[in-house]
Order: sequence, then C-alpha cells, then structure tokens
Amino acid sequence: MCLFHKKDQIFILWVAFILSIHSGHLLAGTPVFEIEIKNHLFYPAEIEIPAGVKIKLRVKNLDPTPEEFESYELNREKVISGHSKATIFIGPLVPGQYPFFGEFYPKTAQGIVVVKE
Amino acid sequence: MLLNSVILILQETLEAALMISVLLAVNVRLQIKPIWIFCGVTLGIMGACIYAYHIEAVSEWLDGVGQEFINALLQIAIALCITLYIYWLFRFKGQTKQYDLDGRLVYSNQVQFVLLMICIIALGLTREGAEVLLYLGGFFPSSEQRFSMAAGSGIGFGIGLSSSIILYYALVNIPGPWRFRSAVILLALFAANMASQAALQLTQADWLPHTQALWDSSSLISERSVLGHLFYAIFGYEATPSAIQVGSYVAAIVLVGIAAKIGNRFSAGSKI
Repeated sequence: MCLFHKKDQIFILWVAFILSIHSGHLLAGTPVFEIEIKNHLFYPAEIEIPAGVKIKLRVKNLDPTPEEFESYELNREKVISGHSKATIFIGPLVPGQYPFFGEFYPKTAQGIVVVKE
Repeated sequence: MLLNSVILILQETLEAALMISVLLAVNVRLQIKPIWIFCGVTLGIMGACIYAYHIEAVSEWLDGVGQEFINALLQIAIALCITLYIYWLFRFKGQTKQYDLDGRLVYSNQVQFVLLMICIIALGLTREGAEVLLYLGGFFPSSEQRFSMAAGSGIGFGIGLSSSIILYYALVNIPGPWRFRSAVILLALFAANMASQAALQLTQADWLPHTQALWDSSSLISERSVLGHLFYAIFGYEATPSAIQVGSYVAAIVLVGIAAKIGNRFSAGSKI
C-alpha cells in the first residue's frame, strides 16, 4: 500500500527541497551591520565589511526628521522616517570604497563602506 | 541648504514632469482634453500623501523591506501601463480622429488612453511625491531652515516644470512621423527605466540576487552631475548598472516592441 501517490511524493520532495535551501540560507545568516543617524550624522561614518559577502545594513534614524540613505556606488536608496529603522541589503562586493550619504542632509550626513579582502 | 533643496526637488520632479509632458504631447494628437492630466495629478498627490503618511508602517512590512516591495510594485505597474498605452497607440495609429454623421468628433477610442494615462501619472506621482512630502515635512518644524528650503524647493520645482514645458513644445513641433516616433521612444525608455529601477529595489530587498555591475561610466558621466541627473530622468542612466538591471531594461524595451508590433497588426487588420 502506498501512503502517497507518485504526484504527491514529488510534491513533498519539492517542498522539502525548497525548505532545505531556505533553512540553509537562514542558518548561514547574513551578517548584520548597524549604523545610527544622529543630528544628521552617521555613526559610525565608516564601516568595514568583508569582500564577497552579502550583508544586512540596519540603519537606525534617531533624529525626529526623515532621512534618505543613498549611494550611487552601492546603487542603494531608501527613505528612513524619523525615529525608525530600515534594512538594506548590500553586496557581495569587490574590495573598494563605496561612499553613501543622507540625501536630505547631504552636507553633514556622509559615510563610507570599505570593502576589504 | 538652498542648493540641496533645489537638487533634491528637481531630481524628484523631473522624472514625473517629463513623463507628463510626453503624455500631454500625445494627447494633442489624440485630441484628449488636458483636464484628464489634472485628474491623474490629483490622484497622484493623494496617493503620495497616503504613502508618505504610512511610510513607517510600510517600511516594517516583510521583514523591513516593505518600502522596496511597494516601490517595485508601483514601478512594474507603471511599466505595464506604458506598454499597454503603446499597444493602443499603435492599434489606433492614424484612426483616432473619428467623426459622426453630424461632423462632430467621436471619442470612442479614447477611454483606454485616458484611463492608462491617469494610472501612469497617478502611480508615478505616488512614488516620487511621497519622497518630496517626507522631505518637506521633515523640515517644516525647524523654523530657521524653513525659508531656504521653501525657496530651494520652489526653484527646483520651477526648473523641473520649465524643462517639461520645453520638452512638450519640442515634441509638439517635431515635423512629420518623427513626432509620433519620438514620443513612443521616450515612453519606451520610461518603461525600461521603471523596470530597471524595480529590479534594483528587489535586489535591495534581497528578493533578486546581487549581480556585478556590467560597466562603470562614472568617470565619463557622473550620476552626481547635472547631465547625470537629466539622463537618469529621461532614460534611467546609471553609472554602474547591475547585470539584472540592464537585463530588465532590455526586457522592457523588447516587451514594448512586441506590444507595438501586435498593436500594429491589429490596426492593419481592422482597416480592411
């Protein structure tokens, strides 16, 4: 007696396969780096990340005013409202310097991502 | 502060303003009343207010990438609306002007153009407008910077508006078949720009894989330069576009081309 039909078996295998990929992805974990925005400045203004690794950038805006995290080099752009935080995925990147800035206060809000081997 | 406001507002308004002027120029040919543009603009401003008001909650969605999701959704919707719009343009090419027995213009073919145009403008303004509203709203409480921000924003908006007026008159005055062609090319580039930006948003959200930049033309035309901003608004110029962005860009152009071809075929068939 067969518990499942062939079709169902394939489906279950498929679900297991998808789950295994995603759990591996979750277990491996993406390194998280945190940046704070205070008085229209980034703290830290320079973060160092390893080359060839995807990272999760958590940007916490401690100011009451909104800010937009922007980088031409990283091709990233995201509005972060006042007193809130945002998640931005970057990389995997090749070694080099990737400046970013706050588009709403570009005079003061300047930072850089340094990618090292 | 003044210069920042000029650049930021110009950057945000230019894209939408140029898109509206192309649609306005096409409207002249289709004999659509400009009032429908205002309908789209009003809806867009309302959408922008709603989006800006809820931006914090939206950002929290889907593990912190709700903003990217909504932006990508809006951009894909705009690209699809433009594709459909071009399909109808080709389908009714040369036969939009119809008269009834009394010699009055019949607007039977216009409803889809009007609807799609309203969608394109409303969706475009929702995304761009929300950013502008957040920017302006953030400054409003700080009184010392209010004046320079208002002045800068006014100038930025003014430059954006005047460039769109120049584009409108340039498009309307192009002689012969190139008037239609140039409008279609600009619309196709807008659609491709939206597709590439949507791909970028989904990469940022980690829904699409990261791909290396295909080239680096930042030394040639910097994205920070005036030309870079203008090119970005017209055809989505990026100095370091990822492979997936370029792929989406090309795919959108191909899709628009196919839509135009199908429209053309139906148009030829219906004439017999």
